[in-house]
Amino acid sequence: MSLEPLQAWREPMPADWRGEISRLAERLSAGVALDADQAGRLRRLASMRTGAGERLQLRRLARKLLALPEPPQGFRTFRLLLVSNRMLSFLAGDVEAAGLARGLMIEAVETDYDAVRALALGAAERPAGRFDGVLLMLDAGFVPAGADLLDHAGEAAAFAALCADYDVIADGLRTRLQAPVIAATVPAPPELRLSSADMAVAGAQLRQVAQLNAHIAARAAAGGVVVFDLAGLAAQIGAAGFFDPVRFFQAKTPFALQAGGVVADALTALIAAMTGRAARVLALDLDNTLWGGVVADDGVAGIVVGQGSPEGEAFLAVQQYALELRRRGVALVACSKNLEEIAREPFRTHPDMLLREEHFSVFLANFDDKATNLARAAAMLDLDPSAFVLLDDNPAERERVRSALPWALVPELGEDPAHFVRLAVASGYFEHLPLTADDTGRVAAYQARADAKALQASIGDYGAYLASLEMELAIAPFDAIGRARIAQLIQKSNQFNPTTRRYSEPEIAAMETDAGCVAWQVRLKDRFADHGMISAIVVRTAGDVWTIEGWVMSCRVLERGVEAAIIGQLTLLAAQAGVREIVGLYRPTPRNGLVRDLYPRLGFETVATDGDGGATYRLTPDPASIAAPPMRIVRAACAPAPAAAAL
Amino acid sequence: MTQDEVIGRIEPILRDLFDEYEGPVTAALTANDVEQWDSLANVQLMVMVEVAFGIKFATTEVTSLSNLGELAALVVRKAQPKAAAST
Repeated sequence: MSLEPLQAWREPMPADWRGEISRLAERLSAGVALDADQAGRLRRLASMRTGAGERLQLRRLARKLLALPEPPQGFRTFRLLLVSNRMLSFLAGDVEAAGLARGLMIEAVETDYDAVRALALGAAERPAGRFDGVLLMLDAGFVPAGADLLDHAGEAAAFAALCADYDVIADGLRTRLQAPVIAATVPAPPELRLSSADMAVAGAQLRQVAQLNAHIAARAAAGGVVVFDLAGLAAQIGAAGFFDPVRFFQAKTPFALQAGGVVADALTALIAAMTGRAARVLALDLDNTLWGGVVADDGVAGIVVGQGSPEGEAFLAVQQYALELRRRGVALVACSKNLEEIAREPFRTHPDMLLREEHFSVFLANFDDKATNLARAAAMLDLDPSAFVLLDDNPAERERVRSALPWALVPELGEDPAHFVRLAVASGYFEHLPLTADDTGRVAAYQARADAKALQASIGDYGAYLASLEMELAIAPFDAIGRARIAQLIQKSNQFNPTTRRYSEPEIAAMETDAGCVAWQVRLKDRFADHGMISAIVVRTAGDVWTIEGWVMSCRVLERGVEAAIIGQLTLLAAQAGVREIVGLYRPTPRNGLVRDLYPRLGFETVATDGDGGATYRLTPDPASIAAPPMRIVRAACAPAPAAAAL
Repeated sequence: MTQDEVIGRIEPILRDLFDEYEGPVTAALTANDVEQWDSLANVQLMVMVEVAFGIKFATTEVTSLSNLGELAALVVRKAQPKAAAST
């Protein structure tokens, strides 16, 4: 089994790794919370190249963290239910340990062995509490031997039955647990492949496995499940090592225990993406990362990049990778210790370069510390350093950035540029869900933000600036098309989020037809870019008091009058429905200080405050009080809820 | 590699797995002496020992062990040819 290539991106452990972990553990055992520095250090320690013994320590530490009343800064909890036709107890521990490297305190809840159908169909008791996700991990044993060999019609029927069975289980779990289902694809054990001809023989079990995986992928593309490509991972590890028949017969583990750390890490990367914690920026060193040589010394003609030399092609592959990430919505940042004009020269004039100046959202070439430059780029893009991945061939630079910015993500790259891309991919930092149009358009939005800032600087009057943006705000009720993005927005938004109420995708789906709530998705475009869906609001409409239960907005569009425009539209609707008052709530968290005064700023009056900094506000819906918004508003048919009828 | 040397190398693995056990680790140690040593942990122990010594146990070998000494003796038998090469 070859786990090494999947681990080599991790930095090695320092000599005192265990000592540091035990000191953190002792602190937690004494009931003392971790401060921000310790939380950052823990994330970094957890992401190092640990062995099985260290992972046991991490799991115990994770358990201690879960016992705290509040997660440490930068961490969040994720309650995961494990459902399988096999024994996943080992994976439970590995997942809890692996989560720490990605700022996740995962509580993995096991279910009984092979209770899959009983759980999905309601015959078994529903595990107590709220879940953030359900892992459905079925192995090839779920796929029946099926039809007679060479019976094509029988094979098709068996496959239809298999898919129907799978759907009943996946839908049943989602409905019953009210949480997204993370569907693992099914790896095929070597014992199932009796011959190469298995691919071509109707009725062979191997074909059913392949078809089931295609079915899972199709469901994921349609937004029904979140796909976890365990089959792909097993292939990377090597099936001969991934499967351990001794352990299977002994303990019914679906794969070798040694693979647990890598599987768990890939799963937590996916959970990070689900919870909006995946990286969004690729920061690139230039010399010896994007090309061979030092441009300031060797000149543009002397750097190694392009077809014709193995090394030059390897560097081109790094550029290709950066471009592919950019296509998927990742912003690129250049970060080089260089004179700016010299650093820009290859992008402008070298004929073999794939990357060009216009691909970079931010270009920083100077002699400041790289950590300082990354922090600067983060400020320019309104993102946190934890959204940044740095690729840098220089170990000293990597170390400096990791020390100064413990939440920035800095994979090891090794010595050979041929391995750079594989290592970066293995880190899982850019794991993502099936893309939405918002993702693919995001880089343009980043660019627009930078351009708009430049324009703002040139226009003194803020009102005139907003008018010059020619914004159009589109408000529509929740619908199936917007569902995935709504869920993503609600999961990701921590700052503009007065109640931090997280809704699962099934809950969001239910609101599409719920007469007891007004649930809006809001999109914004301006003359620079289509920003896509930037806000969602959930208002409970019981009787003549409407309560804003959940409201999130992307921080990309702050200071544009969007929040006032949304409240203006809500006021109009409420007034039409004869509503007496709109109630707003603020529940403080470490991240949402931004909206502490949101409701007073929007003209609400304070009704009550509690000791923790939370407050309740009210607003009488009066259409005359609505100020003209600095944008055109398009509101799709949002029928006023019949408040009068409810009285 | 002697049986005692193997036990010496297995001890930190046991301490990692059974962090609540503070008693001595000797050839006479059995699963009954350690509260955390259940069937699940036993499988984990076998795998960690396999990885540490670069060996693989057969299905029948691990079911017949009655104490740590027997496990260590099995490791000595299986690891003998490889130990020289790997160290």
